[in-house]
Amino acid sequence: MISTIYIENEVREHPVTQAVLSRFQNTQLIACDRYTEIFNRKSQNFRLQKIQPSLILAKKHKGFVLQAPDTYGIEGSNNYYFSHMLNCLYDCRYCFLQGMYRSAHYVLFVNYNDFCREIDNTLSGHNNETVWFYSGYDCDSLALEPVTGFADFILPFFESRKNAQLEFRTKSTQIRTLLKKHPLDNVVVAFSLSPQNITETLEDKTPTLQNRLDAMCKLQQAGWNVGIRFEPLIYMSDYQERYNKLFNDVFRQINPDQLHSISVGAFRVPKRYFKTMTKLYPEEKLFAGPLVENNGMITYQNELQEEMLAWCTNIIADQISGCRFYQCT
Amino acid sequence: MLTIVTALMCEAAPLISYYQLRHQTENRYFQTYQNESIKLIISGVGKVSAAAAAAYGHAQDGSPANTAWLNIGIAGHSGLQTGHGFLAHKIIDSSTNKNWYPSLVFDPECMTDDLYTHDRAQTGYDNIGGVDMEAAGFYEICSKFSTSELIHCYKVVSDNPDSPVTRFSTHEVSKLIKNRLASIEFLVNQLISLQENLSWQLNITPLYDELIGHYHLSQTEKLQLADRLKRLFILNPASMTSEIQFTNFATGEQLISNLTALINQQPIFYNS
Repeated sequence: MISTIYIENEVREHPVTQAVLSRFQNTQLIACDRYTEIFNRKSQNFRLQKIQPSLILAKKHKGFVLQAPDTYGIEGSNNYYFSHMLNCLYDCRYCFLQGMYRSAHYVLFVNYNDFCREIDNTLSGHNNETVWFYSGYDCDSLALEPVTGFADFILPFFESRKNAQLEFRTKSTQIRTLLKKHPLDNVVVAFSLSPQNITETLEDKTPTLQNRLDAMCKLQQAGWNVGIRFEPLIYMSDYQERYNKLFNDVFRQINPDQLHSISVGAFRVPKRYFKTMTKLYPEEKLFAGPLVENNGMITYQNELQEEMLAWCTNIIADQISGCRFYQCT
Repeated sequence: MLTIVTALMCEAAPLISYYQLRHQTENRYFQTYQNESIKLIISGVGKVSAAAAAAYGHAQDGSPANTAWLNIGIAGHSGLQTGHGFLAHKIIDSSTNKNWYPSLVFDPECMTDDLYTHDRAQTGYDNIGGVDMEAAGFYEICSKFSTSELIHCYKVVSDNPDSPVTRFSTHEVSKLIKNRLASIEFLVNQLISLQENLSWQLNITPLYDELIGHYHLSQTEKLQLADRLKRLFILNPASMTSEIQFTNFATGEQLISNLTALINQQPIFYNS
């Protein structure tokens, strides 16, 4: 899967680097001074690199914890995100990462302790208020867990920070680390779900819907907080039929009373990223559809978006009672 | 089109023969050979010559985007035996310390290694890896007009500490390259295949040209027209040749507005 690993000279002897490298036997190792020499360089093609991305092991120097965008996270909370990784194992055609980064290589920042330090600093600025931290903004939180061991590292840290809430956002079924630990009240594992036809056509390399549901069931049974993110809602002529089936499949297998939260949000991407995405995939149907620009974002036309959100919200509302529900627009 | 740049005729000869490349006599400045899918330019020795040849070849082809480039030649190496081929995974310009990292999105048949480009022929083997005189110039200039996944440098080891450089026989150099033709062919096929990934084209140009001739459109409207035609083609290619009368509207603005409405009416299905 990963044939080439670039390593910053500064982290060559770092214990996380050593742990990662121990998992790869026949991989080409290439030294570099800074990951940006590779990752930020012009003349790269995200689409081609997605065929076989490399891994870059690097040290992060600043910007460990950042304010989450308004449209991300639970309304009315103090929302922050952190990215121990850049880029994702999966290849979802709607994902903004393909418009944001020049490179599709995975960057793993191995100085995990510095993230903890900055999370503590952020918490100290909020007295005893609840503060949310999201780990799945620039990557899938769990997809590379067998390589990174990041969840394994960060969970004990959050266990002792009671006013901190952590969301792992994922499409992955890599839940072994979680199942080996006792569940934490202040951690939620939020799964992004789409109808199976969307998973097959727009979410390349992701686990099937059923495999994700199986993983969610196991986590629920083990006592973990599980959330569902029906995002991004994708318009298609038969969307009611497709999403109805999705919601039925989900709520037949997942106990809605035990769900932590559910959110819905339509496809939306900043205009500047969308431009890059359409250049990378000029033939993509998703980008040719009924989209408009609205306040610097490319999204579905207002009427269509509202119709989809209202329709999905109605169906979901019938199925749930206690869990938190919110719309991301 | 994939373009190969070699420094010397003796490096090029086995490739010209293998790929049945024909001499392009109209190229005055660099010897050029070509078939339907491969072009080969002989640059002369040194990174400036390699860069100049690549730039010349690019301009001659009409400056297309995202084409594949391959620098092939002999190199010294600190550890590899003579006759071994390797692909550069990091290119270092020894005089400027600038680096390039060719992006490997396929598993090469050969080993990969660092490659140091020097301005003068090296007699010591101080650098760990390969040593040549062209790669950095070639890579730097090709990066201006293509993408790093499509630009690579393949070298065959001609000398090492056990068998240091004295004088090259052109016959020996040709033999070194010839013995590595299988690896080179693998590489050429990979690059051509990758290049095809990016070659998806919409053929809306004739209709677009007709419409901008028919309507008086501002620059913004021209961009909007191109966007709407592309989207309509993607959603329903048949609509482009069906009964829609693109030239029947009173103004270009009306045309664009109707195309937008038509796009919004197209059924969209995602079927696996």
